[in-house]
Amino acid sequence: MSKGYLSLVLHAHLPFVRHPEHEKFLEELWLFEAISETYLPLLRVFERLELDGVPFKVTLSVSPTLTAMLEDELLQERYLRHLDGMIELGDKEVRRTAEDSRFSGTARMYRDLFAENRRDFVDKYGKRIIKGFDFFQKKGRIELITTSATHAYLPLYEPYPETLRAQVQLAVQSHYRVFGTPPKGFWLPELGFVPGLEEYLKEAGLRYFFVATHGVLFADDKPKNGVYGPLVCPNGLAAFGRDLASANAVWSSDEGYPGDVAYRDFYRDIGFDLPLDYIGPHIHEGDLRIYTGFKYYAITGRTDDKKPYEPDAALRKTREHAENFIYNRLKQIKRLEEFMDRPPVFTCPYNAELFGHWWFEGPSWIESLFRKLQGTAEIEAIFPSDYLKNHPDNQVAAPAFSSWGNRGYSEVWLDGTNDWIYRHTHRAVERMIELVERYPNEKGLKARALNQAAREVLLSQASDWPFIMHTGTTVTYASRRLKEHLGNFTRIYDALSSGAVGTEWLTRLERKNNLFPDMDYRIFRKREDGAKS
Amino acid sequence: MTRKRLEALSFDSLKAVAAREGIDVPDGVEKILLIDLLLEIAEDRKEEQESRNNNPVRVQQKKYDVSLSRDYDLLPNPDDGILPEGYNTNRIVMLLRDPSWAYVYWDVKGGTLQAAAEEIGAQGALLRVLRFANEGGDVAPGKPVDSYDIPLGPEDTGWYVNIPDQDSFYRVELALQGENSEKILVRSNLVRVPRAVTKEDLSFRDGTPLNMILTLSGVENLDVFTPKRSIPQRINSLHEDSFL
Repeated sequence: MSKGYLSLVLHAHLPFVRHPEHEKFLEELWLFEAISETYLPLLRVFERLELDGVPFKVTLSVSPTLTAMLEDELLQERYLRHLDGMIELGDKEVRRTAEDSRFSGTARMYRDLFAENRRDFVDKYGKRIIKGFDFFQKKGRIELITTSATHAYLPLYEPYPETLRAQVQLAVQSHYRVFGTPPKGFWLPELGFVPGLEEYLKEAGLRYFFVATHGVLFADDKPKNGVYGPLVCPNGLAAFGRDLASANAVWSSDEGYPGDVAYRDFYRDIGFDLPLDYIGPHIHEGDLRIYTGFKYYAITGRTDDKKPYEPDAALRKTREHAENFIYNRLKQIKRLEEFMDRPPVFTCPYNAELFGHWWFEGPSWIESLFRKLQGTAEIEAIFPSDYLKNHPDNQVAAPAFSSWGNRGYSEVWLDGTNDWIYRHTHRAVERMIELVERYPNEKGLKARALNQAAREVLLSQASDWPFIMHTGTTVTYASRRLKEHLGNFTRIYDALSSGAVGTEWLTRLERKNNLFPDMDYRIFRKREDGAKS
Repeated sequence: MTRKRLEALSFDSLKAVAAREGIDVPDGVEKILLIDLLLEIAEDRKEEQESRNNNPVRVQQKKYDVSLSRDYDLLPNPDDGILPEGYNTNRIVMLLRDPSWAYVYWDVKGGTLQAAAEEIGAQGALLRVLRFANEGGDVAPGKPVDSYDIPLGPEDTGWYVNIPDQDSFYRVELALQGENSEKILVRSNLVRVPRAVTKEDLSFRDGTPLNMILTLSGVENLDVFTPKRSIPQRINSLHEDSFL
């Protein structure tokens, strides 16, 4: 019998980025890079494990906005176009490095990787990689869960129960529409939890969620299993706390596995290294240098003199690191079994994009992990829902306000760079509630306008916008998106007030921000008593 | 921010960028030196910000990175939507940032506090921070158990408010003050502030199984904000700070 459980949880999310009004759009690369470097490689890992009869269990959260983009035909075609560009660049790189044995093998690796991505994307999945996730869910290898509809950081919408409900309910509906089964679990964006949120999750039929380590440790009653067993909220919903030891081993680029000198360096990319006349056709508009994904150097160390990347050496490292990860979990089990009356569960939540996009070898590490686990009797992979079935009696306690952001609370999403947004996004919620009260039963054009208004309100709430403002990556884009959604909402609000909704403009907007096709604006219906029905 | 983008701007535009960022531009400075200054400050700020980011934030940031060139909101783009300065209604919202700080923003009819005050002949405005006791997880009925006031400037629309006592409920009131009277314009939502839990509360002291498990759970390695006992923002007299 296992002495411990490993609950690997991956959260795949990107904000809704779709710009049909432009032939090409820079920020759509977020999606293309994630598909190429994370989602397709992960699916191949799952496939190899399945073919070899290696048992594995991964809880996978796929955000509704990401699902919408993966299912969108325009973005599928654009990804294909992007892939063809990468394959062309791969061929060029193979020719360019043919006489340089330091790089030629790596160039062929990238060319083959993009070609394989194309085959999988088109032939295997018919451009719908969601089918891959669904396939492994049906096989019982992954448990698909959801997150808030547009990935709103929920603690900062706590004064507005209507929008909390809308974010949760719409996410569950969206998940059911795509995957055909309701989700059992919920990924709180940024693991952002504030007491009371569990009521909305329960109302939506969910059974468990995840919190930061101190969300459990600072609970209203000392957790007798620490983070190694869930707490059950008074309303029956289970909260699994993040295991810190396993988190640091994987997250940290300084001390963790991704920082190993043998792994591929993220920053040394030919998009910045090679002359413009060569790389121009493969970067943005010929002159804005961007990451291409073709990187030839290993991390090497704290030096600018990077050594050439050796894929085989890096692969060997992933096995070593997978063994190390399991070894440390076994050490933890040995120490914990003295004090616990049940096997500990190590809840290991990560952003999916860490594996492959940031840590190139990450998917290989996951594969090595499960292969190694197969031969390790003392620990087995588990879904949170299975844990709850095996261990239905858990300590009842209320988790604490927490997140996994800087210093454990809300400061990433609420500081001098982004606090200004809430005046406006909250006002939009207030007006949306007012619209529902004014138009409780609309059909036809008015209903379309109201549904689109609801979409725009929700899109303005994406946690990505304040996050980007805080970290300073593409601030102009984030700011512009926020203003655009609020502007769209306000235009609809004013149009409804004046009784004249422009059909052409509305149709264009519906076609552009086309997620949540089953939207019913009454999801913002006011209820005085919060989540209680 | 890239050198290329800055070089494409006029000297006046560069000065406008500097002003927006709160950077003092020395008299007589040449364009090229101004560009150097802006780039240096941007780099310092970026490093400072990145040093404060923890692992999940650092990794997540990479999702949105498509270029080494930092995108920078140099000047407003005419295509960007314009949001109103405020909304012509009385409302105030309190958002808990961490157990010791909340962000409060408000709108008032008439647009500014000054306009609202003038309408009723008031002389100043203040934010009153009210604490209510926690009774078994619910707010205790009755009056607040403590409060303090923050005088406001005529154009203020938001404030970061210190929370002196955890394990309580808080709300704020926006009030206009006359010579001998006060009018509460609007009250905020109620916010529940969690109890102050420090690592010392949970750390291994006596070797009991519970404390051993908590230690093994990493309680000593939590990188979380810890409330400190500090003097709250208590201001007793307002009249010398009134703005009319």
